[in-house]
Amino acid sequence: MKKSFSLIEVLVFAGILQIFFIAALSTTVFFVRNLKNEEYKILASYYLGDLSEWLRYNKDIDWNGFSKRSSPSGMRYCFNSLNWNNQGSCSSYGLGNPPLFKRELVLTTINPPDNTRIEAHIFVSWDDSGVDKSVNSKIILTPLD
Amino acid sequence: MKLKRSFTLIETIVVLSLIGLFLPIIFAIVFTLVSQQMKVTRLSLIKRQGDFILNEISSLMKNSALSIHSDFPPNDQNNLCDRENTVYDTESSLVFRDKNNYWFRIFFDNNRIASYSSATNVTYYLNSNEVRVYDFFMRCRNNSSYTPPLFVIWFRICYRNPNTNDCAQTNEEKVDLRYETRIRLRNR
Repeated sequence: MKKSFSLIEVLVFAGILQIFFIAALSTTVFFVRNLKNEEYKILASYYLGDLSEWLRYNKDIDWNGFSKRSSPSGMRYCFNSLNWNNQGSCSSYGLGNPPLFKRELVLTTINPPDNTRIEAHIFVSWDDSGVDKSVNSKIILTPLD
Repeated sequence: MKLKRSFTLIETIVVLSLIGLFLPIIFAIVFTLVSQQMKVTRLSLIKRQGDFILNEISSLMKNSALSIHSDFPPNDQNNLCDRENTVYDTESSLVFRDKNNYWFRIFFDNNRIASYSSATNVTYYLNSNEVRVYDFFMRCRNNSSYTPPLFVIWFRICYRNPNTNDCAQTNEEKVDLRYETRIRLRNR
C-alpha cells in the first residue's frame, strides 16, 4: 500500500508554517515601524533646529519686537512655515514633504517686566498610525547671547 | 531485490513551488528592512554633517568675524557691506577679518564647504566626501551704517552617489536637507 500523509500531519505542518510566517511578518512590521520612527525623529529634530536658528536671528535683529511676542503665561504659535502669522495651535500637519509634521512654539517671558530672558519651547510632532509623537526643545534667549 | 525509495515527481514539484513561493517573500522582507535602515543611516549622516557645518560657521561668525571681504588679503578696497544699503551675493567664497588682524575664508570647493585660516595656514573641509553640498549661497547685506553687516548662508546637503557624484536618486536613498542661517556680525 502506498504510504501518504494523514490529515493531522498536513494540518500540523500547515499550522507550524503559519506560525512561522505570522512571527516573521510581525517582526518585520515592528522593525520597519521602529526604523520609520527613527527617521521621523531625525527629521523632527532637524525642523526643531531650523526654528531655533530662525528665532535666534529674529531676536538679534529686534529684541523689543521679539519680546512683545512673548508673555509671562506663554504665547503659542504655529510654525509650519517660518513666520509669525499663525498664533495658536496648528490645526493640521503641514510641515515637510510630504507634510507629516507640525511645529509649535511657546514663548514665555521669564523675568517680567524686564523682558530680558525669554524661554522658547519648541515642539515638533507627527502622527504615527493614530498616535501623536513629538520631540521638543527649550532654549533661553537673551538680548546679548 | 530491495527497491530504492525516492521522491516522486509530484512531491519534488510541490517542494520546489513552496520554496519558490516563500523565498521571494523572505527576500522582500529583508530588502525592506535593509533599505529602510540605509535610509535612516544616510539621513542621520547628512543631518549630523549639516548641523556641524552650520554650527562651525555660526560660531566663527559670532566669535571672530569683524568685516567681510570679497578677496584675500582683506583690505579697504575689497571690503563688502560696509556702507548703507549694500548687498553682495556669492556662490563661491567670502573672506572675513578677525580682531587679531588675521583672516579666514569660507568657500565652496567641489561639493564641499571649506574653511581656511591665515592664522593656522590650514584648510579644512566641513563635510566629508560621503555627502554632497549643493545650492551653496552666501550673502552680506547692510541696511544701516549704524549696524554691523548681516551675513546669510544657505545650502542643501544630500547623500552622494559614489558612481555618479550626484545626489542618490532611488526612493530609499533619496534624502536631502536644506540649511539656512542669518548672523549679524557683532565685533565691528
